[in-house]
Amino acid sequence: MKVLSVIILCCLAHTALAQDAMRGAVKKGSLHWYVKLAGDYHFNENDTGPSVDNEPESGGFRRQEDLLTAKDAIGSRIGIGLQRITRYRMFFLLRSDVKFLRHSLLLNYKAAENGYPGSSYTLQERYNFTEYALNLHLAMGYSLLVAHGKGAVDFAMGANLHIPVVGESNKGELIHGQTNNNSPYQDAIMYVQTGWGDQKPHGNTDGAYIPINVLADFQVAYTFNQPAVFSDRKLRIGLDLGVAGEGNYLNTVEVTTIRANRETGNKYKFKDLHLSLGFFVAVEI
Amino acid sequence: MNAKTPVLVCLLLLGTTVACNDKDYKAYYKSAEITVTDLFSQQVVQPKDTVSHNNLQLRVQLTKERHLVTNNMWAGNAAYATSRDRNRVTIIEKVKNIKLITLNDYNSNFKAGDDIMDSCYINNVYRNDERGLISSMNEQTYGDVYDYEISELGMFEFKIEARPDAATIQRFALVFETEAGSAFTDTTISFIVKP
Repeated sequence: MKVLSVIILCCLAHTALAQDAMRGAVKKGSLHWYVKLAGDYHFNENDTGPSVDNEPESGGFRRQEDLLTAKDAIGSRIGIGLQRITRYRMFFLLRSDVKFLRHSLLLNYKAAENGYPGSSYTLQERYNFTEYALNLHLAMGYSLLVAHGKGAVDFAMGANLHIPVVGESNKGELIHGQTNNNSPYQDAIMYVQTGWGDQKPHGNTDGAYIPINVLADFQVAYTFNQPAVFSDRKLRIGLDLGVAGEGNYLNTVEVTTIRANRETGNKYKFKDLHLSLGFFVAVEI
Repeated sequence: MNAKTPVLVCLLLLGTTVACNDKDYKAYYKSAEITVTDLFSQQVVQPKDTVSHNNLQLRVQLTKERHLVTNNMWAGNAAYATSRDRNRVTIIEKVKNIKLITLNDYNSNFKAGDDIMDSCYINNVYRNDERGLISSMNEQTYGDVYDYEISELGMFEFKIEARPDAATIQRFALVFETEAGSAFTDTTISFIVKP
């Protein structure tokens, strides 16, 4: 229901803007609607690691660098959009995509590197979650005619409002492990919070928070003005590059290690930078 | 439809999501620090000091580690709202049992290694028995947003009712066992208890 509401909202926005654009289309240029399919490769390698707000190797202990790692992920998008081209070949792009993206994180805990010297205890756990988000793109650029007007190379840059529409949090979990086989007791070894999607970031104490990531968006595309396969409908193919602005992290997984005697250890985070390179195909409708 | 319509619809959607909620904290006990006090002199007993059994009191200071948990941010929650001025602290590692272990022979009934907790009188603001204390430690608490310890159990005292047979050096270990099979402990200094 939430997803449907957001999609309806976007359609209304599209319709209103399209009407405004069409009123002046004859004088000022052309307007083109597209449907689009896209696949994105997400670079997640640099999205995990020890938090910078914890001192490295504090208390004389080594810090396990690879405790939390994230695999690169492949997402997909479907959407509609419009391109308004002026007579000076400047253009504006407005499009909305529904995005699906599955993340996979690996927790690889080694007690010996987290305050229990000599312990052979290890723990592996995988966290998977699928993100559903609505992307609203607004971009402007220049369309360079090539091949005697049969094609055009488009360069565009703009902003992408990444709005997750579902999410989940485990609300905090204390994990225990038998770090000493001779002890009758287990040890509390980690506190883990997994939160993703439309979740307020951990530690955010403000009551108000809007679940929108503002991503920078770059696009290079080639437009076939008269492709043979779609009976004179335009065809665009190209690449999208996106990255989050600093401080906009909604997908957060936090792991706080706990050393012997319950001393707080290091904090590890997965913060999704949304760094992605996408390939898209769009057909005029 | 004009261009204002999407803005109005957007405002309507945002408006429907506004609500109030508590700030949710998840907490676990990080430590329990035990000190020996002399009720007569109102002083903390130092190692090798002597204290009369009647004036012997053990004081336990509890500390917790708290983490603010995430909130969902769409309809039916309060992500957009101004939070209610209240914090809710939920203990995620429940205490199951409390032991006071005598590390030296205490009297003829309690030898070294025995649990003497059943012979203790617990003094906390909630209930004066072990079950009551455990219940107090595990319960969800609420506090004012500016002072969320206002209703939490942070400290309690207890007295050992059993008398030692003679003036002997004593040392105790306090063990809080949890339902997860873990424990957090502390031990007292070594001191002399007079019957």
